[in-house]
Amino acid sequence: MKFIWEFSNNLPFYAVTITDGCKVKPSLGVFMPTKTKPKAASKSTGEIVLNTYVLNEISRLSEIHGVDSSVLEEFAKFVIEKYKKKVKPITQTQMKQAIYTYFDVATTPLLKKSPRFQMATSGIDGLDLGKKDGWEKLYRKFIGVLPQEENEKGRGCINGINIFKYDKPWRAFGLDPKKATTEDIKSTYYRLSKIYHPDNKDTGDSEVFDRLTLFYKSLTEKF
Amino acid sequence: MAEIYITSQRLAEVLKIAPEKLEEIENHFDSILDDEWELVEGKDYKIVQQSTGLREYTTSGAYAVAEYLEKTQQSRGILGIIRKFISILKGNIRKAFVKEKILNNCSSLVRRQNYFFISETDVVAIFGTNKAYLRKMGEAAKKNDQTILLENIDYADFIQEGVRFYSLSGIDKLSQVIAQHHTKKNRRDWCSDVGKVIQPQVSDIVDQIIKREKSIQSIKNSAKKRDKDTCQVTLQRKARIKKVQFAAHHLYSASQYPHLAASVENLITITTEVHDHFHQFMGGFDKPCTVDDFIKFVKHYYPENTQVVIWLEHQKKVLGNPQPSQPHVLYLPASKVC
Repeated sequence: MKFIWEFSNNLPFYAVTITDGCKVKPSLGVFMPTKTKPKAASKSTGEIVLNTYVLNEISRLSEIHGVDSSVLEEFAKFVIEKYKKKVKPITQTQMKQAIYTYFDVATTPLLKKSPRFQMATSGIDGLDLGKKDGWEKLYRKFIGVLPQEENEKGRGCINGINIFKYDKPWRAFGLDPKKATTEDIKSTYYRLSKIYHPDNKDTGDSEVFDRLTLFYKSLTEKF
Repeated sequence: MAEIYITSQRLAEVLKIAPEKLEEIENHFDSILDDEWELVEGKDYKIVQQSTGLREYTTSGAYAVAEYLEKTQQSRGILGIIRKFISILKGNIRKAFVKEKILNNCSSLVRRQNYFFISETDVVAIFGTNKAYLRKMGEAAKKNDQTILLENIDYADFIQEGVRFYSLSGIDKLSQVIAQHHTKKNRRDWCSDVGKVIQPQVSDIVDQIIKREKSIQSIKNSAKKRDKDTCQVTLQRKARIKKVQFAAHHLYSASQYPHLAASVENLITITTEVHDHFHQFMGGFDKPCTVDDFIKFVKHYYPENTQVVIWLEHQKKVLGNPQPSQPHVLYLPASKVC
């Protein structure tokens, strides 16, 4: 995602435009009218560049409040960077289609009859294809992370992934599989263990800890 | 891979021409020697019926016919169709070989916690690789969240001491990694197919194991019916007042001679007391036995019943001289996979 700042000469506002055309109201307390048209994405450079209007505003504010302008610049960039586009959830039809393709079938009855499907799902408890939940389980297992579950928060969510829903040890440990060493895995596990070990009365969770231990064993297994 | 043959009828169907038209093309090819259209027996086709000259085509023969149609009959795209057909055919044939390999190399199949596992030795044989390479691929699989093998889900060390087992999902992940690493196309295709067919193949195998167990039970009932619910050793019959329990005993033990387990000729009806006595005589129910052991037992404990010995000698002739069978997945007890 790329950002550019946009400025209208005769109006007391500015806006942030992201390259896919969505507009964001920046968190600097300035109103953004809906009439503002986003600039073309191709003009962006990929780096967050604050335009002169914003920089002028930063100078003004820094003078009034006696704050270093670099602090405000940093904050402005932080706001842009942390902007999160609303994720459109995947529809049940899209989920079904992805599953059909994966199992090389065209319909749900054929999917249910498929020996490959039957065998592959024998380990999934309570799979009900009459419900959306059933299709979600299949999508998570065979296709990938549901868009609406990216950066999920709540119990069992570590580094933006729900460890009960997904078998993604690297993601849960927040490590790069290409660069991480065994020491990195160990230290991450110990760090997470301090939080989730059942002995920790405040944040301990035995189920989370068991799952993390499974991930740790799988990551450190010597084949 | 061995040469693939395509029947004339199938080739005509794929080329979307009538069988008579194919015959006409064959005649045209054969009529003028040394022109550009040649079909060579042994290379492009083989004769499968001498009286009619019916042919089966090799891939080169099929391409030659398709090329002829494209160039002379304005059948545009027919070469593409035949190329795709041959590619699918080759793929299906390779998958059939992979399935056969799985069938003959998964006697270690076992179900644990809803997952089917196969021993490492069998997995090595199925992939046609060696243990060191498989382990190396296990390491490579670790480098990606999609393929990383999870303990007790994709692999397990608790099933048999000192033996690693892989689940079907584990085998599928390994197949993806091996297919990525192999430089030879044929090996890549084979390993990739293992992942694709392992689940349906094991599903079919499990169905067959369950079916076999049911058929053994049904054959046991048939043996009791044949013997008129009478113990062939003590001649005790089914009685209303004094209840007698009968067992259908395998003359050649089902564990060592599983290929005879569903044969009625290999069964004899005896009371449970006689059955228990015989297996005590043999040293336990888990000890293998043959018809000779049973003859020895009868002669020792029931010497007056000479008729059953004659019948047993007859069964011995009928059953031939069977040899103990090698372990095979199809002979596994259903309890291992249910």
